[in-house]
Amino acid sequence: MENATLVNEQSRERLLKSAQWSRYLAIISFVGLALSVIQTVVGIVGGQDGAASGIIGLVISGVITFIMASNLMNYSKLTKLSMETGDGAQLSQAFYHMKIYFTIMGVLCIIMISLLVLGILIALLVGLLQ
Amino acid sequence: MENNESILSNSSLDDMAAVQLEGTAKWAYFISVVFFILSGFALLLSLLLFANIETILPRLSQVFAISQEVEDFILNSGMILAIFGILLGTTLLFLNGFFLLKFRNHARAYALDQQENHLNAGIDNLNRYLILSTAVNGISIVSTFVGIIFLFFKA
Repeated sequence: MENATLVNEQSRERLLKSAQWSRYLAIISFVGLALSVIQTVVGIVGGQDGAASGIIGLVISGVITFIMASNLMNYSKLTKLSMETGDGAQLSQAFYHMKIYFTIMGVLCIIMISLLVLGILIALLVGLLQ
Repeated sequence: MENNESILSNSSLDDMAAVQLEGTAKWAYFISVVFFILSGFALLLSLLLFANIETILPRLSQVFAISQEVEDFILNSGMILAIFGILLGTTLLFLNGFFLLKFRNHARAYALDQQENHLNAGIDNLNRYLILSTAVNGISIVSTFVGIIFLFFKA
């Protein structure tokens, strides 16, 4: 079973490359999250206006970033593992984590578009009332 | 299994992996459409803003208490910087959408005919998306880091 190959050599190389880059993206996301926390703390300590109120936003965006980065990390780990062992179930699990990553991003897109449309409607209403 | 043969017929992904890949591709398609719409919208909004900047800026200056010095900067070199930033941002957004769309198209084609070349092309485009996203996030981290240093010295 150890020598079994799940996909051919070309696909294997590409999947390993995607595992490598998703790992980099996950690490950069974690670093970005840590820097955002430091930025907020420095802002609060320095008495910057609105820094404390930014905590709620930071917590929400932090949780979302953490979940997305974790899914990318899991995709990377499971893809590498499946290429080593030739286990199809692990590759399936890897794609599942990539799907979750894209699902979260899709839901965020829906929320963003809804807020954008709402903003345009409010701006139009305000413009009409004036 | 001691040989190097595929554990699946014709070296293809198993059914579960293919189903998950298809699910990923569906969301990738939706996100790519959103990216295209957003990049077009941002470009249109910027064009409208720049075309009417001399009317809009005095009103914004009143609301946000912008000084005359800053206002002059915005009308001169600030405009060039803003145009460069918007063009760069919309191009990156458009490119990411384009890579996701190509990933979806190839993943869908792979789901239909199980041809390995479609899988390869799909993953290639997923890789391009990941590389571009990593680069954009890297730039964002650098700007956050600069912001922290600025805040630190200001404090």
